[in-house]
Amino acid sequence: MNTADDLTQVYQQVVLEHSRKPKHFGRLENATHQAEGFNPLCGDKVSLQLEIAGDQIKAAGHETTGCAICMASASMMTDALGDSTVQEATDLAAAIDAMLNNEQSADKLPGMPLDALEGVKAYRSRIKCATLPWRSLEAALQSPVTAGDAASVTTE
Amino acid sequence: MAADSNTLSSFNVEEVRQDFPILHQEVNGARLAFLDNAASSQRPQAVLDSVDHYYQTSHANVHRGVHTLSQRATDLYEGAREKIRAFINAGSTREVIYTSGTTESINLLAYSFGALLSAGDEIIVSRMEHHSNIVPWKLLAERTGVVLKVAPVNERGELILEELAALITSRTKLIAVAHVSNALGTINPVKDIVALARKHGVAVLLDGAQAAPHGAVDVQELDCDFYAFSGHKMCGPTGIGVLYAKEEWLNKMPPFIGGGEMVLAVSFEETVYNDLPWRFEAGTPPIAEAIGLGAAIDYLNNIGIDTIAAYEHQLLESATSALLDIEGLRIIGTAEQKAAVISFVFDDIHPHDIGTVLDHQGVAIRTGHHCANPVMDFFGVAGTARASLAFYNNQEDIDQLVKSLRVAKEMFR
Repeated sequence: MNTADDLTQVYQQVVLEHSRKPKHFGRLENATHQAEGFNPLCGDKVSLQLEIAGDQIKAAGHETTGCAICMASASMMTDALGDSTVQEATDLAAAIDAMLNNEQSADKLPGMPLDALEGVKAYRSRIKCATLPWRSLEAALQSPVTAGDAASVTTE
Repeated sequence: MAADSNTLSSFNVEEVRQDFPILHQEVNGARLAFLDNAASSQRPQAVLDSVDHYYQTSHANVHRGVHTLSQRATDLYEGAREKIRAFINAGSTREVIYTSGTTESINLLAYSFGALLSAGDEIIVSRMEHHSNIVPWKLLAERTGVVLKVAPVNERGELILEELAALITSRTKLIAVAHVSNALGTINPVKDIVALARKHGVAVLLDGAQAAPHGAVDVQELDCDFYAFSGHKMCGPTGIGVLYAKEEWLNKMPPFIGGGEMVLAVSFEETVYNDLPWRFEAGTPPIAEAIGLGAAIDYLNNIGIDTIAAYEHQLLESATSALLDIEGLRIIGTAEQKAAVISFVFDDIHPHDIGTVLDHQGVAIRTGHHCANPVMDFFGVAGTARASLAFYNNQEDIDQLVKSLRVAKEMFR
């Protein structure tokens, strides 16, 4: 059973703020890596672009259409990637995955306020909304733009 | 399916609700308002008891044994087929084929009716179809070169009959359309569609999954060639459905699934197929489920399908006007003839977020594309929130829906 507290936890102010005014929304001019994420069950889409120099992520941009949780997750993620290395981004994606799949608690996560996503755990049917941007990140890190079309990844 | 106050004089929704044990519970600390009936309905105690009683007293395989239990099971199973025949007024039980549900019914048809078609023959579906009345035909098209054409809908979500007519050519063999749209609630003018098809010698399949539970269906009066529906949307068990097909077609169509039950004699040289309808029913069938569907039909008949239709129409009108009072809410699917399905979008709140906030207040609705991507694309939305009503819903359910939507609006303001 979910309580009223669970609901305010998942839709807490920070999540709602990010979903109303997503950060880093839009396409990057100098993207070096990109991927498209799609959740066929609900139609959520994340188009993610990264500008990577050496092993450093210089910038991240996304165009997301989806629910508040997906939008907030994409916004927080691109915010957290600001000056990460590729390795740090990979580790963060894995840590978020582990957290949402209940294998690790949020306090192990670098780059707060990503722990705001932890509230989603109470809603099994909504976890994929939160993980879609991160799946797109994992795909984008492996997908240089020069390789042709953006890589695509789904939640299924 | 128009409201008629006379038919409603004896209907007491609170008494009816007592027949449905599942409705009397709290979900997430709130009274349950179950408004996802188009996805699957709930079952009255009488249906649960019939399945239980069958397993406790009469289960054995059907059509197989000389022993008493097998005979009892066969009588119950075939007795349910007769109830279904009467419910849709088919001419004969030979025309009532058990399937696992509407999806299998349409796949059976795509295979067996499809076997009578050649490359270049045409099948027309509508833009508002459920995926289960699109994908089997697309598979057939890929397999055989049959051409799939799509009849458009207007901005109210109504089939445009003239445009459907314009798609018909000398190669058109089948028109396959929903009787009632699951995503929009539109009741299609199926008699006009059949009349149009008759003029051109075209067969008609009606997907009745959303229609059979909510109004009288008379396949002889409709004069459709095929009619498909599911048990679980009409208070019956899951895993049981029906394909009604005119006998003249069944005599021409090859079997779909091969195995036991559908044959009379098998050697490695020759197979002698069983008589109708069993030729199309291979393997041990869903016996308890069929019996449960028979019990569901008894239950619906006892209330009266016209009474159900009239009451649901009243509920639909009440819910529609209450929802339209909420600022920022837009109903998708505003056909003149509608069943009790209300699809909507609300400000720019994503349907999934609406669904989660409503669930918190005990309100169960469906959110997403409703397995009808093409019509969602037509309306330019990725999905909608959908409240679908049944005869055991009451005004309190609608009030709770409205109240919980106001909470959602406040939350996402």
